[in-house]
Amino acid sequence: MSDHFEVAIIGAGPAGIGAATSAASYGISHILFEKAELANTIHQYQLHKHVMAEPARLPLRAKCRFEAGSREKILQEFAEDVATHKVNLVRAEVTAVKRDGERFEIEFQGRVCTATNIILAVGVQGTPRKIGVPGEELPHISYTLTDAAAFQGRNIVIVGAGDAAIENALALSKQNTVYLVNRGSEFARAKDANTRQILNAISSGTIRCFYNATIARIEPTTVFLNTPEGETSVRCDHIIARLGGVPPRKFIESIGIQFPSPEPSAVPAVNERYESNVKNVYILGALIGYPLIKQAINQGFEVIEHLRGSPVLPADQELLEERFASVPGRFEENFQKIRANLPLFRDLTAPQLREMIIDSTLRVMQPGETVFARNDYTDSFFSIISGEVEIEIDDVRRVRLHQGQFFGEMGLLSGRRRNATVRPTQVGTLLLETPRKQMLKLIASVNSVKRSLDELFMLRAMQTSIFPEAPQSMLEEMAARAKLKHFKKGEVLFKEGELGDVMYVIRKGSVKVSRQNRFGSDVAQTYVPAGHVVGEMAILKSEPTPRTATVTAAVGCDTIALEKADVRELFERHPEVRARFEQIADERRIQNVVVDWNETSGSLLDFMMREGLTDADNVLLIDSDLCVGCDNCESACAATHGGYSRLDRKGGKSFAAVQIPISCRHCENPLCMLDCPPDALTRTPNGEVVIRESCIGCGNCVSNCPYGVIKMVYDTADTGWSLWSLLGRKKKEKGPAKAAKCDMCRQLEGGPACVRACPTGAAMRVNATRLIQIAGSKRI
Amino acid sequence: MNYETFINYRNYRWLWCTIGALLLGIVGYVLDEPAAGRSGGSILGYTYGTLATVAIVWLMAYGLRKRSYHSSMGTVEGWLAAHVWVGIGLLFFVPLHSAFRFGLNVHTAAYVFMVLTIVTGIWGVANYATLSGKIQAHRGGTKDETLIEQIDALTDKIERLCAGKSERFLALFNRFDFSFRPGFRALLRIQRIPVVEQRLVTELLRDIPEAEREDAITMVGMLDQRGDLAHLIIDQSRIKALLKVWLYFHVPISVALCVTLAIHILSVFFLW
Repeated sequence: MSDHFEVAIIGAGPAGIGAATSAASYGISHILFEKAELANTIHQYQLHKHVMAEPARLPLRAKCRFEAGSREKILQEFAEDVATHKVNLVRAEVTAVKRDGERFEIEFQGRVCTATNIILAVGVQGTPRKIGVPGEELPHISYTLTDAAAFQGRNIVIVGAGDAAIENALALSKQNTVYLVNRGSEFARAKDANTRQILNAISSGTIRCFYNATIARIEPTTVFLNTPEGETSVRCDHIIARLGGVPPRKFIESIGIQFPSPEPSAVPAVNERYESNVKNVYILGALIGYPLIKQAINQGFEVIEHLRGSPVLPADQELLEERFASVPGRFEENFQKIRANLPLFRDLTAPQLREMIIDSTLRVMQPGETVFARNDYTDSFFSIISGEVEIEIDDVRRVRLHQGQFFGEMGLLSGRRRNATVRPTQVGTLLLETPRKQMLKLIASVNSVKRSLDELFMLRAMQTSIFPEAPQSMLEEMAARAKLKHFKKGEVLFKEGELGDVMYVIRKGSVKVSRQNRFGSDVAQTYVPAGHVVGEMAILKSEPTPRTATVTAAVGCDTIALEKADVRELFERHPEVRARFEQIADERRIQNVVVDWNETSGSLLDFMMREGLTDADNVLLIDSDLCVGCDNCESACAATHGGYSRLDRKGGKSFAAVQIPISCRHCENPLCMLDCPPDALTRTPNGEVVIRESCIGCGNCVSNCPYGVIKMVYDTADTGWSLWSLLGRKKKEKGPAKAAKCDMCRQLEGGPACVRACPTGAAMRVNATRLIQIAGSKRI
Repeated sequence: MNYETFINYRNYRWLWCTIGALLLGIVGYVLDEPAAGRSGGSILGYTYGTLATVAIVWLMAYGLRKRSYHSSMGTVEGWLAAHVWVGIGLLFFVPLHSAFRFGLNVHTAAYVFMVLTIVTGIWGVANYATLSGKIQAHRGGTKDETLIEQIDALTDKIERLCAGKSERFLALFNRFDFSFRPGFRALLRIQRIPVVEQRLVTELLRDIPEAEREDAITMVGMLDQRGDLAHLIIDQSRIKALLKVWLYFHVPISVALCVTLAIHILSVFFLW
């Protein structure tokens, strides 16, 4: 065996096999190193696991075979292809790679060989990420699962929300009690098919999932979790952590490759030919943030094509160019512009950037057009590639944003309506519209994106809530001093009577403001939703001021905490900001005095929080002082919706004389929309949550709605002519069951039939604010 | 806080319309001095008669509108507001048509039926206004079905308590027992539900053997509770019935009104 090779490939995973089979077929001298099994990560999959070939739209370009199928079939094909191409496979661990002039010296098993090019395809599974909490050294914690059948009748906690975690959970749930701990509120990083299956399993109760939860500590028989509802514990015999892997950083850095940040999840930067900052060292696959098999194989193929001097465009090139179809100018230039002009995405690897753009839409817009309007319910994220837009916060306040800046970030956070209208001001303004799910994925995987957005959120939240007039520089200074603070549901931000020196901007969630009545018990006064500030009175005066009310997190809340000393110092330098702040604070104080809160409205607020009504955008309420129980509302609903009433008048809860029938409230944060496989649940620009024809009847929304307002009903189809039809009665045939709920009678002129059919005016459709007004005026 | 109901709908829009129409009618009536004297047969009489007939037909159409769930022609609440106020207006408008002439004939019969329709309607409005707020189930109170379940459960417990007890004990039971069946009789308060009077119970307890006294007191408590529940059901049923029962008068009488009105019109035009 000659000891110099044109190319040395380290790691025989999909990328390595893709590159090696290609090199072998062209007769390029090569060596492929693997320290464990061929395609070791796939090898460690559960037996007979069905391996998917995502993304489905992407073609496979390789000298080896790969299509969706069982783990065994894929491993066998890989082994066959490696053999038939006569790939020079060496089963050994590479211990060092050193540069020696134009070539690299590779040490393995005490031997040395040299190569002109290095392809680094070691993946990240070699070193799994640890949980990082007390007790993680215990023996019942593992990081892989090969044979699910080995577990029977046990309590198993699985940590993670990626594909590996989901697949393990699904496999184990057949014979064990499985708990899934998901750090977020969705399964944003998983493949669509896996997301569907896990949500089905959760909704059917097969698997219990803790959302927004993390492991607090582990004991031999119990796991303690931090959840939005507080700390809870789960009895458990075994823990499987599927938190992904961390790159073997020491080894990679020893070659001279740089990482953009010290954070463990950072990936080395590569150019569009997958070449790293070290010339002739190429990095492929999961190591550069590309965990999908097909992509890795393609990358291996592309690098070899590049090395033999016939560079090909990446496999996703066509998809990418499609995106630019509407944009004038050359594709290459436009594509380069995105990286050059958008600092937010600067740390994305070339493949990450390509994937992001393929998922996004490029919009060329002219002045006079609207990107989105205030109160719209869209939730995509916009970056300005070139040109300028104007954000109309209200009739007076306008902010201009330029190339490189971004907007629409509130849609990522809270699911609330857009709070401003955005219009382009320059001809041919080029915008990149990225879907929420893709942005969430980037936030989860690219630290710089998360950091930039966190800072921006703080800035914008402060700007819109308390310092509208403040100059950008001051806000940035403030953001640098502010701290992000999370409060669990029921946790107290501050207590009435305490001396306060912090104020909080609520970024996510909502809080309850309560005061003690003369008997010493807490009476809820109001609730404050995201985007507003609490505790600002404490900042107003220079002397220590006692809190006038107790503020408690109504749901899990993200807040921005601002220290009095910091704020006051900035006030010294910006008296005009101070004046405006004082004005806003005064307005709130006056509002507090004028609004007549009493014990009734206090318990009303508690009722509304309990029933989730503070989140309601459009709730059907029935005034019991007027309702005569004629049920004309239900008749009207049934008559206008194929014979099934979407409201249950008698079924709902009541507060004083206000009855809330079981009927869709069109929540601001609709839980039903969280996991609709065909994306049939959608929000109209008016805020109505509606189910489109594309519903497949999976029932996810039915189980996700906490208020029981969605039902599965059978489509009825006319069977045509029959004797009955002559008599005016049509025989109906059952179609497939589909989800049905209040659609606000969008098809009817004049609005919801239930309200228009109420003879006494008892039925109304109102938002949360109006509900408080009406119910607050009622006697109990 | 003020909010809209079918009575004050759009700031009493239909009340003001009705008062306006009535005032116009009165002015027309006072100004009109036909040669043959004022009567339903004068030009003004015919005009007012036609207007009243149109109004009655329109008021009857409320029943159709209430069931046309796809209709976007106003709201049912608005229609009811018009129905109520225009209906009451007719009470005063129709005498202008007949020039206050009444007699023992088919013409006056039509008026009488109209008055009865309107009076039953006003009864309905009064029921709606005073009773709807008293339905406990609408205010987070217990539903009737649950109340009945509770009564049945208490009956079971009482029966078990009575098993194998002395005659005196059973006498106490019989004194306050009642069989409760919700229904028409209960509704009309024909069914008597004994009130557990403290003085009487104390008296009767003296005769009961020492060993059974504790159970007796428990039983009396349960009987009292059962009585309260029964009263509640009856009250609630009465309220719900009153909210509906007026319609059983209002609608048939309005049909009678239509018939007599048709006879009135036919007789005036063809048989006069």
